[in-house]
Order: sequence, then C-alpha cells, then structure tokens
Amino acid sequence: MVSIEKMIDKLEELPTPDFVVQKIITVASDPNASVKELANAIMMDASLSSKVLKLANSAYYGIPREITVLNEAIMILGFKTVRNLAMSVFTYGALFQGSQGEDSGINREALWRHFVYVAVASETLGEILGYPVKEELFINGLLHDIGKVALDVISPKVMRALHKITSEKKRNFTEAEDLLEVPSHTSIGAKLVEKWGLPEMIVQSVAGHHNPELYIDSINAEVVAMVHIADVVINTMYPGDSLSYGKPELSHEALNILSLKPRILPRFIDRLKDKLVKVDDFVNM
Amino acid sequence: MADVTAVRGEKIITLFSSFIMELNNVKSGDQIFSALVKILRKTVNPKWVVILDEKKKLLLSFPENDDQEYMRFSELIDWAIQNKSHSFYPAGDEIVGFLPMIRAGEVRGIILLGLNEEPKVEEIDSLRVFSFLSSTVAENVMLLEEVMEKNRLVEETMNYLHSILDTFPEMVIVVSQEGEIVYMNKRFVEEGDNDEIREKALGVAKEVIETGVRRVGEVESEGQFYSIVAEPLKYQSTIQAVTTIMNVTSTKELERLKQLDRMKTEFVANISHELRTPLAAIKAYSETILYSLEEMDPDTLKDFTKTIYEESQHLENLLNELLDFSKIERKALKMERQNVNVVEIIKSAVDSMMEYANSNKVQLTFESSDEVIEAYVDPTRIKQVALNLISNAIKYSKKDIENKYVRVKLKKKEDTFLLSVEDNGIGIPEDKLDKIFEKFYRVDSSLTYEVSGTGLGLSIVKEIVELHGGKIWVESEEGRGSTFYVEIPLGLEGNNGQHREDD
Repeated sequence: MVSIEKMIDKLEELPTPDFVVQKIITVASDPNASVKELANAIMMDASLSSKVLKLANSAYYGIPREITVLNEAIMILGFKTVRNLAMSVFTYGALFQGSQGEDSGINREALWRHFVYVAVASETLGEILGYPVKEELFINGLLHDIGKVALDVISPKVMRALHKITSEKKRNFTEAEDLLEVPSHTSIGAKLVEKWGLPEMIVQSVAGHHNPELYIDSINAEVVAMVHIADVVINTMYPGDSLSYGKPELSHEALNILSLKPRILPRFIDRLKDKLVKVDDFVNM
Repeated sequence: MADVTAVRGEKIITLFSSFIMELNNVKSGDQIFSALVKILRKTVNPKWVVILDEKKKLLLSFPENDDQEYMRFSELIDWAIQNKSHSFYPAGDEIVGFLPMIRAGEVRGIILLGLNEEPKVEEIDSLRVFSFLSSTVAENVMLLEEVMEKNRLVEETMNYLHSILDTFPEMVIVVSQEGEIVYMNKRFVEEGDNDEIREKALGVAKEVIETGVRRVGEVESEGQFYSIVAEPLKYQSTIQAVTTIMNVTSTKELERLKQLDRMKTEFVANISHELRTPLAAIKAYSETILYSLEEMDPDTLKDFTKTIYEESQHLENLLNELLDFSKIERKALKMERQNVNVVEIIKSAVDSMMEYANSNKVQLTFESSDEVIEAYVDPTRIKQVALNLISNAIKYSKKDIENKYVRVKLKKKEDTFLLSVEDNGIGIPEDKLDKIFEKFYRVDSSLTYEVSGTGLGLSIVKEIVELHGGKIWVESEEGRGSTFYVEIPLGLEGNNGQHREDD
C-alpha cells in the first residue's frame, strides 16, 4: 500500500524538536554541563519554562516545598527529569499539531494518555527492579509509540484504515499493520527518533517495544524489555488508548532478560496505580 | 574538549577503582560507610556527610557530631526516600544532596551531603552510582555476616557432634550410596582402618543400602573379633548406611570360657554316666556269679564273664580316651612313629568294627587305591583315628532306614594318604560343623544320652592328626550324611627305617 521509503521521505514533514529542545537534550547528556546551562537553555522559551515549572510542582513529584525557579527544579529533580519534562512538552505539541490536510479521526487525548502512562509505568518498573537511572525509562516509555504520531501526520488515510480494523475487529495495532502491509509504527518511529538525534537507547526501545528479543544482545536489552512490559501492562489496563484493541502479547524473553519473578508484579501494579492518579498535570497539559 | 573528557574519564575510573578496592576490604556495614565517605570526599569534597538508615536513624556522621542539624531537611529526606529520587537542594550558602541508597527497589538508607557549589552532571551520576553500589555491598556484607555467623554456629554444632562421636568406644562410619566412606570417627581412624574390617563393613553397608533395612555382620582381624551393625539413613534423597563396628573380642572370649565351663560340667556328668554304665554291668554280672556260682551252668557263666570282659574293655577304652585327653591337655601326647603299611592298619580297624556295624545293620565297606601304602606314623594312633571315625559313623547312623552304609576309603596321593569315612547317617547341622572338633562338644545335648560318648573322641582324633602334620575336615549335610577326611603326610623322606619319638 505504502512503501517505507515513501513514508520516510514524508518524515521531513514532521515537526523536529526545535532549537531549544535540541539544546536541552544536548545539555542534559553533557557530563560537563552545569545547572545554570540547562536552566538557561530552558529559559530561552518562556512558555516551555512555565510548563516545565508547572510539571515540576505537580502532584506526580510531590515536592514538599514549592519550586519557583528553574535552577531549583533542575537540582531537586535532576537534569534528566527536567529534560524529560521538556521532551514531554514537545511531544505533546507534535501529537496535537496533527496533519495539514485530512484528519485520521483518532482519539489523540487517549493516545497522549497512553504515552504518559507508559512513561510512568516504565519508570515505576525500573524503580522496583532497582535500575539506577530511572529517568531514562521515563523518556523511553514516553516516546515508544512516536511512530504512531508520525503515521498520523504522514498518512492519515492509512491511520484511519488501521484504526478501523483494530477498533471494529478488536485486533492489535501490529496485526492491522501486517494485514494492510504498511510499514510498522516501530520502524517509522525508530527512523524518526534517529533523525532527531536521540540516543541509541531510545531508538532501540522504539524499534523493539513489541519484540524485545530483537535486542537481547544490546546493552539496552533491559530498558527495551522494561518498556515492553510497561506497554503491555498499560494496554491491558486501558485497552484502546494506543489504538490497539486485541489482547496484548507479553514476550517471555522480556521476563527472562529481566529475570522477573511473577511475585513482584502485584507490587508493581499497586505502585503504578498510586502514581497514575498523580499524573493529571501531564495528561492535561 | 576531547582531552578534558578523557582526563575526566580517567579520573572517574580512578575513583571507581579506589572505591572498589576499599569495598574489597570491608568486613562490616560501618566500614562500607567509612569507605563511602572517603570516596565522597575525593569526588565532591563535601563540607559534611551524614548517613541515615531508612528510618532516619543516624549511622555515620562526618565530621563527627550529634547536633542533628540535618533534621531541618526532614521533609525533603522523607520525600527523597519516598520517591527514591536523588536530588540537591539549595539551602543558604550550601547545596544539600539527598542520595537514597536503593537496593532491589527498596530504600535501605540515605546519604546527605553539604556541598559548597552545585554539582556537575557527571558528579551527580557518580554519586548516584556510589550510593547504589554501597547499598548493594552493604546488604551483601550484612548477609555475609549473617551467613558467617550461621556457618560458625553450624560448625560449632558439627564439632560438638564430632567430639561426641569420637568418644564412642565403637568405630562409626557412614557409607554413601556410591559405597564410599563419607564419615569416620576417631576410633575407626585409629583402630579399624585395615582392609579386612573395611571390606567387611562396606559389604554389610552395601546390603543396607540395597535393602534399606538393618544388617549385621562379623569379622575377625588380627586375632580380634568385631561385630558390625549397619542402619539405613536417609540423606538428601539417597540412602546411606551408618555402620558401627565393635570390638567384641573380650565378650567373645568370655562367652567361650562360659561355654567351656558349661561343657566341662556337662562333661563330668556325661563321663560319670559313661563310666557307670559298664561298671554297673560288671558289678551286676560279677555279683550274680559270686552269689549264684553253684547254680550256674557253664554256658551262662561263660556268657556272663564274656559280658564282664567286654564291659571292662569298654571301660578301659573310656579310660584310655580320658588319659589321652589329659595328655593332650598337658601337651604330653607322644607319637611313636615307625614305617608301616597304612592299608593294613585301616583294614584291621574296619575288621574290628565289623561286628558293631552288623549289629547296627550298617553295611561297612573298605577299599584302597593301593595294596600297600607305606608311611612313617604311629600305627596305634592311626588305628585309633580310624576306629573313632568309623564308630562315630556307625553310631550316628539313622535309626529306621534301609541300606545304611559306612564307606571307608584309602587313597595314596603324591606324598600324603587320604582316609575318608563316608556315611548316610543323620549328618551335622551347618552351624555346628566348625565346633565338632572342639573338646567336649557334642552336636546333640550330651545330657539326653541318646548316643553314648565322651565328646572327647574327635578332639583327640584332631590332635593325633595334627601331631602327624596332617589335617582333618568334614563335609556334611544334615539328614543326608557326612564324610570325614583325614590327610596325613607319608613322612618317609629322611626318616627311612628310623624310629623316632615326636612330641
């Protein structure tokens, strides 16, 4: 129906993280960066600054003292969390910018909720499994389905067709992709984040979040597996948000990679539920 | 820029290396925290460091003081612990770091730092890794301490049990399912570790492992007697055998002496009876003759005197046997050897037993491989041996069967002759075979008097045979009959024509 090359060509039409977001990403991963540098980068965009501050003071973080300046936010929440906040603001904008022409008719609020929930679920899982840099899991979870945003922008027609199949026949999004023989959201998403210059870890978790076994030998195997499990759990709890209506398929390889014991799952779900009630500020940005 | 990064990278590696080295040497939780403080001072040079456990109890403070200044950040400490977030908070002229120590998703404590300036991204990352590493190592060290303590207890208990087992007068070993000795107590190491005992004990243990039930055995080694008892022991889904080996030599000796004493008592009763029977006959017949001589016809008189003569002969035999026995006891039995034809000696013994055989309806036969077998032996004693064996064979024939026989055979071998006396009599029970050559021993209880005899015959025979340098043995089946074998060296070499007295 549509070749991947054609699709990739059209990726050019997609919004690219602007200079400010690019700068934030660069500064947050520069070992020599200082709080001041990151704060300065964010402050270049006034609207971004206020949104970041709002999120930093949200119930999700529950900081006991109100944060009024970015420097404090960066120091208390850390560079990476603040980068995540900026990235969230940007992704939200990209999703709701939509296509110039025809509308695919999908529920973008639901899809955004899915992004946020998977970000939180990934971070929570990382916390429980003792993964030291849990902030990285947030951004990996947040961006895992970025390919769907791309599809929605590039080819609303295809998106509409896929959505029709998944919602009416209660199928998974990947099954619909196979049926229509269109490039998968995982491959398109991976191309996109690669093009944005995001780290390899994010490229792999976008590409592999349905098939974590593909990256079993990668240094990012654990991260990809955790994003996969978070995605499956959120899809099970909130079917349809991600435009996928079938029964989510859990990869046993992911459980093996993490040596995950089933007994920690109830603890994970409990803690996740506690957190999801606190993310309204993210969901309703 | 690249150079700066490389130098920084090197600095990080150096820091990690020294931290890991410090961690290698720690033996307790406290030492980990001291190592941590040391490395923190090298990394970010904090003004102060406080380490709390997850309930905010002070574990370590640097520099040392207990003013609890840090409690003014109480709510931030709670927040950092709750959110498992590593964060920094500007407070006046310093930046306070909150580094929860997380292990397996659980906060095990928190590190607080007072910094002069805000940390770099790299420093934050390093601090974060240090705190993770410390909590992991701390937990491992605590687990290790716990395990070591348990090990020490287990070892103490084991030593205690070992020393108990080592005080046992018995040897104790445990044999594994594969037949290997997996435990031996001190007694076994000192006393029992020789091949005979080991082999026998392993044999008994093997039976226990195969059958799963208790087994016993006995072994004789270097003149000592041992009893073996093996019990099954279930261990990690295999069966082992706890095998106890006891030196029962003194018990055995005591038993033997007791039995000897009992046999001597029986012997006295028995021999009195044996001596009384002919004596009573002699007394009765001679009394009759004495008081009724005038009324007796010559035939009756002859009969009576013949009986008296026969009975006195029997009495003489008994007394000779007793005499022989006492000689044996005093080691005074002497062989008067000369060159003789053994065939003749045996034949005369058979002939003299023929009448006794006939009266018992036993067919007595004799055959020899050669007509003449020359040997250097004591003819009287060899005849005594033959007589004893033949009379025993007749004596212990079955009462009510047809075709009773006693077959005497003589066979010349290279430098020995073999005398065999075969019967189809009552036989000897297997468990009694090795006892019949003992003095006083009789297979039936002597006191029943079913068969007459002193119980000395075979022990005398054995002594005679052995004094000739020969050996005696028996093959027997209870209810089917017995065959006694006597093998004696011809003894001709270097003794031709000489007459010699042996001890």
